[in-house]
Amino acid sequence: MINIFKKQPCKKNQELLSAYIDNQLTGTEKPALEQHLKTCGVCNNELTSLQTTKRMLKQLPVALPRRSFTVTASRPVASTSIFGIFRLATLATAVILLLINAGDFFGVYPSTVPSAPPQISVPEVVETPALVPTRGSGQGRPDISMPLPIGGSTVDVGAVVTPAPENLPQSAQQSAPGVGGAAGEPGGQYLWPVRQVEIGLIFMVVILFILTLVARKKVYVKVKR
Amino acid sequence: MVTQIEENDLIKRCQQGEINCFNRLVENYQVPVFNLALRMMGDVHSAEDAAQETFISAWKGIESFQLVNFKSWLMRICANTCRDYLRSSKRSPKVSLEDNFAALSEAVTPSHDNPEVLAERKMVEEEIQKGLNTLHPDQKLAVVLCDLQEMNYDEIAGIMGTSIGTVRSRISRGRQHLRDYLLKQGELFGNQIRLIE
Repeated sequence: MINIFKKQPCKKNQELLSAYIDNQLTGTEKPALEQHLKTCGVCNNELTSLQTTKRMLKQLPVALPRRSFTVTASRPVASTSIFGIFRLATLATAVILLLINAGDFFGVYPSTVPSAPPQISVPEVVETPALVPTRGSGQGRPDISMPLPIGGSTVDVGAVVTPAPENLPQSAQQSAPGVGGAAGEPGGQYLWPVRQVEIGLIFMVVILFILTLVARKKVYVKVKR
Repeated sequence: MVTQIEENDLIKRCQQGEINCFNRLVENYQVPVFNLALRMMGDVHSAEDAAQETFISAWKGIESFQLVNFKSWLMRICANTCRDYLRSSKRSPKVSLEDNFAALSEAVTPSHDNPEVLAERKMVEEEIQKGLNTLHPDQKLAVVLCDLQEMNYDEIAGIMGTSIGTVRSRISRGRQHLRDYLLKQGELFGNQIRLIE
């Protein structure tokens, strides 16, 4: 086969030739290119080859689809309502979780008797002949120490009222601070397991969110094949 | 065939949720959409899927459609769908070329020419499609929209979301590549090469 395109056409005219075939040149481009084509054989050959390529492309027949592409908008009611329910449930659970967390943070929940701080043992406090008045000596306890006129000495009120571990109920002795709920009132325990509830709610929010996404995907336009 | 006034009316009713009106538009445009998908994908099965997805996407988005040019809008959805399909099919090609061309010859309009002419034409069509498949997707889209869908550069620029200058460049390069590919198949295209000479 003879390669008639060995010589490159003028580079600046290559794009113009294609647009010229499509009659898409501007008013000034067209006469300039036509003038150039009168003298340049290489560009003339390029033009002819591109025209032939276009003609060959146009030979491709129009294909008829073997089936119709009509659509039906069947939005299943069940899926829609499930989606709505899941979405609402996710939102509600997230709000409850947020409220519980906020309550935990600000320590608004009722708690049991505060457990004794581990650093202070009762015998040491009792045996102290004269305690220097302290402020906020208990770790995490409210600052309630004040001097009391008992036997001419001051006593740490917080330490005195703290029952000895053996006098505490069994459950209070066994549970460590923080277990069963962060102490809203420091040193104490909630009457209900706040932390476990929070963790449970986090899981619920995640699961409900996933279910919402799954339900949402099912609400789409069904294809009529 | 639906007139422009009818089409605008159908679109407005589609936007109010009338699926039957939308299906009238589907019937009106399914041939050009399918042909664009077919030439872009080079595979009948993928083209059918792409065309179907185009109409589903169009139905979903009909509410946001502004009355400009419904066909261009459909073509843009189809082009984007095909681009996504091509990206995913690059990772996992499914249909063999032989199977594809068998399905393709079923899809094209039947002709009453003699078997020899038909066989030759079929071979040429297959080679042109193979040549199209070698083009960069953007060049292929520009060439198909221009030469097969007979759209002007302005419309093509709107569909491709680019400037007229870029369209001009893509069509030019696409045609050159296709021309080079077809020249390499010189034995098949004796008649056309003679035309060039």
